[in-house]
Amino acid sequence: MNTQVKRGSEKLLAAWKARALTEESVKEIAEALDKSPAKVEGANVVGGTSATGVQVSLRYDGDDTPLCGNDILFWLKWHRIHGGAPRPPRIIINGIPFPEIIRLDLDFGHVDVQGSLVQDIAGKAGGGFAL
Amino acid sequence: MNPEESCWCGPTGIAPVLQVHPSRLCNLACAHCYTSSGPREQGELPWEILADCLNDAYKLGYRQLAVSGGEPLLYRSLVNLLSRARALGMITTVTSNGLLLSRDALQPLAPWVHFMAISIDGRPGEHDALRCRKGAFDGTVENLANLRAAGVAFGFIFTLTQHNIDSLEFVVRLAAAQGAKRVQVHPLTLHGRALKTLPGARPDGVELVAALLEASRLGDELGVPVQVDALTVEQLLEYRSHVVPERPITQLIQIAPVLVVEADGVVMPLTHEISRSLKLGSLYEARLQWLAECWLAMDQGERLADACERTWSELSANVDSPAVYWYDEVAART
Repeated sequence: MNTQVKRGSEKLLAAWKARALTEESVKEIAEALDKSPAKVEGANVVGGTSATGVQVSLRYDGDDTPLCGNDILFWLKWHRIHGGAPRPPRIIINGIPFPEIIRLDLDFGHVDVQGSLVQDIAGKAGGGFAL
Repeated sequence: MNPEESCWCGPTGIAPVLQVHPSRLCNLACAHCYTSSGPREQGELPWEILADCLNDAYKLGYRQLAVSGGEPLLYRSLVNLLSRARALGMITTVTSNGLLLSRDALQPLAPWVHFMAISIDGRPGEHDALRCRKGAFDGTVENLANLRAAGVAFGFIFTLTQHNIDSLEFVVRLAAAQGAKRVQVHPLTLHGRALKTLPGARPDGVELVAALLEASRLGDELGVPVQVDALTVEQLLEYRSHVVPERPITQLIQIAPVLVVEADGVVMPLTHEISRSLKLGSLYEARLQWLAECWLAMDQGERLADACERTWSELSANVDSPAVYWYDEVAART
């Protein structure tokens, strides 16, 4: 198999690079937020110079609260086009049965937390299934 | 050094391991098999010999029995072996390709196995290619339901080659979906059949580091612990006492936290790949207790400890090798 000629780490790196956000995909998010009635309360770009994801915290007040559905729809469409590993949106509704405020946290792309190298040594030298 | 003391600081996890290969008979003939097991390999270690071996191993301080093979489920005295180990108070693990784990096969085993390690070597096509059997992946995964039904805890073993770390994510996701408790990443060793079929596939330091990082990422993301049998140079420097034994060597578990019993009765310290000149002997010739006493009296433990020290010194001074599979490195220096 041709793929077996490559190092596994090279294939892994290529897959990671493919996860980087394109300028176009970021622009789409910005344009959607411009159109949205939501107030952007926070934004976090994950991945530094090779960003792989964006986290945004949105707030909808009063009559705007039903419109959060439009942004969730955009979020779904965005992932259908650009891919990623979306986590479900986190939604906080303030006011029952009539919402006064809705807070919506959306993750775009890959925002999983990078693990640090495990320092524990137990079992790492090998020899039997390490329990 | 008593493993029952509060902290066993050896390299094998929670306890010194007696790794038994009772037979090389296997329903598969995998390309990477370091014991060259297969369907045509007949013969098995008599139960009586292994019963004595278990008793002696326990007295010597070994507290975990790891049964491998061949395919352990083809060993006729497997239940005897496991139940004796449990009666002694040992932890029992069985490594299997999973294809024979029917409900009927599991029923007598389940009460005696603490943990089953099931080999999964990547995506279905990759797994089947390495196992040299089309449909092997599907058959194994199908049987995981039987393990769950029997209440036997299980994990996956993934053989890391120079070419497949990108498949680890698939395996860990499968583990999370199937209820596997952990994933162990074991570097391919060029021994047995692998020597002929997979030359050049042994993972180098770069692939080992990639595996460590990927394991950490996937473990955090998916909530399944992923263990790589590899050490970074930093870990070697920090944990010297865990891999290089204190001198003098007075007990076998000091220098051999893993003791391997091969299908022909030969007992090896640490790993199959250690020089045969350092073998303890054959269980067909003498009991383990006696073999251990003679081995230590002949200063073989000191020889092996020298190799460990030499390995540590060379590796810790070599910044070109960012991570290593410790036992392979020691073996290469024996």
